[in-house]
Amino acid sequence: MIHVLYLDDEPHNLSAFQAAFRRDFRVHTTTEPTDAVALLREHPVEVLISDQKMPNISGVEFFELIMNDYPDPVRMLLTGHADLDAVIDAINKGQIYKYISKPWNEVQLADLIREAAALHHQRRRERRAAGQLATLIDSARGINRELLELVRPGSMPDAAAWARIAELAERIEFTLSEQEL
Amino acid sequence: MVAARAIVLFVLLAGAGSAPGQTFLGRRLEVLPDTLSTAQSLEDVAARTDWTPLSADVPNLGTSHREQWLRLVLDPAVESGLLLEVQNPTLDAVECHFICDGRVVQGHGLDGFGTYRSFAVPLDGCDDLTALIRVQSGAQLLLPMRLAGPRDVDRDSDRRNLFFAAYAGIIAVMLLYNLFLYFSVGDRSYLVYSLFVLVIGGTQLVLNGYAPVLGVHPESWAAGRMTHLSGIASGWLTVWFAQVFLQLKDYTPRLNKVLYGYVGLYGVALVLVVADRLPEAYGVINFCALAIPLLIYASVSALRQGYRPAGYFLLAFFVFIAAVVVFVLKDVGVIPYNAWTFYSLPAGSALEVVLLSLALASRINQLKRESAEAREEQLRMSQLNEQLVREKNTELEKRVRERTIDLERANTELNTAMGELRSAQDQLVQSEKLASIGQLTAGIAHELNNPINFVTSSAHSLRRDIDDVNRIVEGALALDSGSAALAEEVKAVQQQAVELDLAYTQREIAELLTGIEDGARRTSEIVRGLRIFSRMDGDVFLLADVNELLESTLVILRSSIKEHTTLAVDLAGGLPPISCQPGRLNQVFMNVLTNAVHAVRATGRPVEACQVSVRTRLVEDAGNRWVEVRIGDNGVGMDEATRSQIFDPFFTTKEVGEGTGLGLSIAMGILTDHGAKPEVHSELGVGTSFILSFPA
Repeated sequence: MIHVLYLDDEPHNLSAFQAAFRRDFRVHTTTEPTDAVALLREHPVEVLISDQKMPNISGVEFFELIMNDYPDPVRMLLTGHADLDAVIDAINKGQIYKYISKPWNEVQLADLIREAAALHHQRRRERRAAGQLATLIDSARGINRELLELVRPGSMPDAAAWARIAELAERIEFTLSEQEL
Repeated sequence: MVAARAIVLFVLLAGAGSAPGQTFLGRRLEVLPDTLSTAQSLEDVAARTDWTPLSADVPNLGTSHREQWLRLVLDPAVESGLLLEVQNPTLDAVECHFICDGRVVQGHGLDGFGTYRSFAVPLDGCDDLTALIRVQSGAQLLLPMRLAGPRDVDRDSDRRNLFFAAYAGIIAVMLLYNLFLYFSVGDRSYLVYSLFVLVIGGTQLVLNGYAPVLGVHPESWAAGRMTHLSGIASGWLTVWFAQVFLQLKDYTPRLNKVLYGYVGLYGVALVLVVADRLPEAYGVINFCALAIPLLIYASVSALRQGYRPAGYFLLAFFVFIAAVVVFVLKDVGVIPYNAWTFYSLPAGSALEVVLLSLALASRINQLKRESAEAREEQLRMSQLNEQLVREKNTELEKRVRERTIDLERANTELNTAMGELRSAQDQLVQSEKLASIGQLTAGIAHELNNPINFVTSSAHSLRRDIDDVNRIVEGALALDSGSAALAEEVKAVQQQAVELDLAYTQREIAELLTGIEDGARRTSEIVRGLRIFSRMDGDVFLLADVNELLESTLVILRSSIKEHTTLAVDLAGGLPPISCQPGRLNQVFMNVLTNAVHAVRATGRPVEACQVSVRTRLVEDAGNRWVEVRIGDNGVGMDEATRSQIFDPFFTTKEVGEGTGLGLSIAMGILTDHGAKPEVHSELGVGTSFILSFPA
């Protein structure tokens, strides 16, 4: 189940959201930004939706606030009316995936949440692949460095060195096969 | 011209008056060197041997004023019956005694019309006939004597009389003419001249023996001194006339003073005459004749100074002097004594009188010319003035016209500019209105979006929840109490309820219903607020509750207020409705409230620390009631300079493009229309409060 967190100062919106999407997603709602941070910490939230116009803090400000600690959740801004400044801020500062205006269309919003979750997963996969690739490159670089030591020009490797070379070749084979998995 | 003709006529008359071939018998006369004593008889006197013959045709015996005895030896054969005529009218006394053969034959004197005296030579047949003549004169003792027949004497006398009648006529005409002029013109010189003419004419007539004609008795005191008196009068009047006529006071002031001295001398002469010192008086009068060169000098001086009448004066004087010279030369025997020379004095004086009259006319002409010139000059000046004024007027008119055109153009431009300004203002007011409407719609959109959002969303969810519940209810209703597997079926329904989380669903249904109810309520509230707020009743004044208007405005602004500040609302109950234009008043409230929100936002403080307050009160003061609306904030506040300008059009503290600067200016106009006075208190860093007082 996709974890969705929805922050809005209007409780009725929260209950309406809960009622609309609880069958499809794992929905977390709150009126308080601080509670929202706690929920992010407790649950693997994949999609984060916030109302723009709230007392004390705007949606964009909230996104900015949690950006460093929780970069992964895909962010969507929900707002009552088209406010150009808010849109510009949302794109530049809050790195918003989508901008949704009230009243929401349930089907569209559900689709958007799914798309966002997919994006979230893809991003996570890519990040993991990138990590593995970096590890691979690191180990390849280590092996290569050792090999260069062993086959220095002008000197023939001795028997022990040959044994070591074979061992390293084995390791390369192993690492690559592992990577393919 | 008339005067010239008169002169010509007069000269002709003078010519006629003179008898050509008249001979005087002065050379036949003998004179005694001394005065006779009364004891001597006429016969003895005649027989005296110290008779001295005289050597002139017209003897001059000087001015001794003593008796002179003359002897004339007559030829009885030729001269009997003739008249011995003494042609000197100024003699004080003339006596003639005829002695026939040593015997006195009383001759009889004939006073020919008070002028010349003639004595008839006796007709008795005498062998020796001698005339003894006694003469006495206070003046020059001239003896023009002749022997003539009575007819000749009569004829000559008539001619003389005619001549002097003409002379008197000229004098009278001049006198009357100048008197008339004096009375009509009022120039004093005419009066002086009239007197002058009178005296000159009178003098001449007196000197020529016409004193009795003028009403002076021949035996009177005055008659004996006529010569002196007329000399004094004519001299004095000549000086006076010269003074007046030549305006000596202006032209030769010093000479003028000297002439006063002459007037004094004439006075002395008059005294001497009165005192019977006639020869001395004659001397003084003659000395005074020295005034004549002075008068000539004065007239030349006046002429030189451009006084033209002085020329005539000079001419007249020369004529008169010439006549006098001729007269005197005749007296001393340099030129012959005849009618021409004898009449030179009256003729000269007549000419003088006429010339002086001309001089006077010239003077009057000059004065007239001067005044005419002055008038002409004045006229010219006034014409010039008029022309200048006209030119000036034309110029002025031109300038006025130009100015008018300029003004009209400026006016047109101003009108155009004003029209443009008005349309610009209209546009600005319109844009301000649009801005308000924009703010309004934004606020309303947000306010409406939330309820609409959760109402629609909740409705969908509610349908699903109810479907779930319905499914369980249907399952429950399908239970058959008679069925053997009832327990199983009940278990299945319960199972379904658990699966569908009935309890949760039921809770959710209640929750959603609450939301829908709440949304519906809020929506209607907003719509009502909107209706109140935007009651665009135009310019119609209605009775409205200020609290209601404020509430509606707050509804519209709630979202923007809520986002930035806390709000403290304290509306007094029981406020009387006020007469107002609700739509326009809401615009004022919204404007002031929006400014308050801006002010607190600008502090950068958290929302909890920001406050906007709205308060209404009924204020009573001295019988007047006011509904007071106080809108305060704890925002940034304003300094005095800013505070004093906030109602000025286009004054704004916001960034360019953010505000029109017209909000409060329009609000001010609206408040003025409502008879409300805004009161603004503000302090930098503390906050601002607007107090709007509406007459209740």
